[in-house]
Amino acid sequence: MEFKDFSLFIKYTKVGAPFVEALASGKVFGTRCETCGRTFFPPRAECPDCLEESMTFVEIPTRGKLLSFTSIFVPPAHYGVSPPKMPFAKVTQIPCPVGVVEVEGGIRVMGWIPEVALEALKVGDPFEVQAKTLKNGQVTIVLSPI
Amino acid sequence: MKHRVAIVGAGQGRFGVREDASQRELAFEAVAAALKDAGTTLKSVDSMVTAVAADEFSFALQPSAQMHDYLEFYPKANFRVEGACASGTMALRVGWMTIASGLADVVLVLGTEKMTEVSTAQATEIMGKGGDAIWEYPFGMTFPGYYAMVARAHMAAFGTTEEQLAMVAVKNHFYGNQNPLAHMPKEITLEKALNSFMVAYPLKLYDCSLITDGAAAVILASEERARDFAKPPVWIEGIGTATDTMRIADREHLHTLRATVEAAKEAYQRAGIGPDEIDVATVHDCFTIAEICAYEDLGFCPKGEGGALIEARETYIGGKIPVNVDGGLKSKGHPVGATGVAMAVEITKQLRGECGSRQVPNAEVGLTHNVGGSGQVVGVTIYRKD
Repeated sequence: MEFKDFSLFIKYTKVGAPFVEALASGKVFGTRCETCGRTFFPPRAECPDCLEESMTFVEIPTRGKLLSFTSIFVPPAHYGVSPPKMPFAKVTQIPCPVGVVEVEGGIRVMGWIPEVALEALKVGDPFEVQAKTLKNGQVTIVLSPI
Repeated sequence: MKHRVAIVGAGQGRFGVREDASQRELAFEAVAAALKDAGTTLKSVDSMVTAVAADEFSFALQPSAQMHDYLEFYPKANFRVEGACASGTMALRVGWMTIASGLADVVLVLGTEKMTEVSTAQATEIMGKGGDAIWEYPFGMTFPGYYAMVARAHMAAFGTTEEQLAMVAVKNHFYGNQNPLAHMPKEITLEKALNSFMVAYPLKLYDCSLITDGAAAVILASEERARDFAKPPVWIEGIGTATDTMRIADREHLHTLRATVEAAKEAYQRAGIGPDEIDVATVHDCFTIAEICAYEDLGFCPKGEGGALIEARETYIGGKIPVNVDGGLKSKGHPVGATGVAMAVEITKQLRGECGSRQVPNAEVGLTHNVGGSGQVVGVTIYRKD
């Protein structure tokens, strides 16, 4: 498992392997500074307060509320849909909503929202953050309604 | 401000899908227009700064060198400044610093971007990486996507409506139609904006600025040299620059661009004025919601009342504070590296009274507001008529 299995483009980071392996085992990891106790998500290798590199990986709280969301109908090239070669054919994409959840303790987590239709989403709804392994082997984060 | 620096020349080429020209040719148009406006030539320019936002659009490692080469500006100083969509204002800041420090008396500030050499999908991907390329981009985030989240949060907090967003687009197209250098000079109706296709919910096609080719340039001069040119100087009275978190999710309020609030505070303080004294403003309407946030974060109205401000037509000419009467990024277009410089060009011409049918009467103090990315770096600049 490589960090690219989460990040798509970026291969190398000090926090990559533990983060993606945790996602694969169903956990979402942040890091905590052993010197000052501050917790970070996304995980980072160095504490900007202490300038120390003494981090421990910790599971972040997962329950919280939806801060905002969207659904991207004009996707970037990476997720783009190629036009069909068949004459008169059309491809209609129904994009998966994306949102940000604030979990207990104030950490903000971005993730896909595969289980709820766009029209049914409301800012402030209770949501849970979950690690997810996709069919193609990639790992990601999903947000599920509680 | 301790040192006085003036804009003595301002020029912009035609914005649009410029299939007739390369990036260096677009740059030349803007520089020639600025030099002619100042009644001078490159011989009188001591130093140069170039804003280009993304290598990926230019297919070049150092696009700024193409510009000084094509202008035959060598061997005088030129280099690139980058602050995403605020690159132009960051270049203006560096140009100001070059004069204030005594390194030069006359400086050319150029901003340019050639965005249509790539497909719309590729441009969407390049701009999407204006967010956090590691932690946000994997979720398919695009530039409209970030501002869609800002919009959703703003609507939830303050009751801002899709109609109010569309009213910003209607206004900016109304004025863009009176700007011969605009990318999309056409008026639109509220119905057309509301019924356009969804780009990133709730932002529709007419909530989004344009993928544009273009360039803009200004000539800056020291106080000693400011009156040696063809037209009266326009003084830079205040500069403010501020930053915020890479990820929009990490901000206390998703509906506020804190970097705008902080940059504005600094610029107003340096100029010794408040938002009530601004006669005309160009703000960063990369999306309609961004203009509504800018009204609030710049202090043109209380937080949460930006939607009501456009609904009451207070940002039209004749209203409380005319905003983006050049068409804005929405209709004039948004060649990202050029945008900040093009804003300075517009305010210079407004304060000189050169804007014809879209002239704000008796404008003496102007403001530009230029946002990099989704608010990671913001520049606010205040200008005063001589």
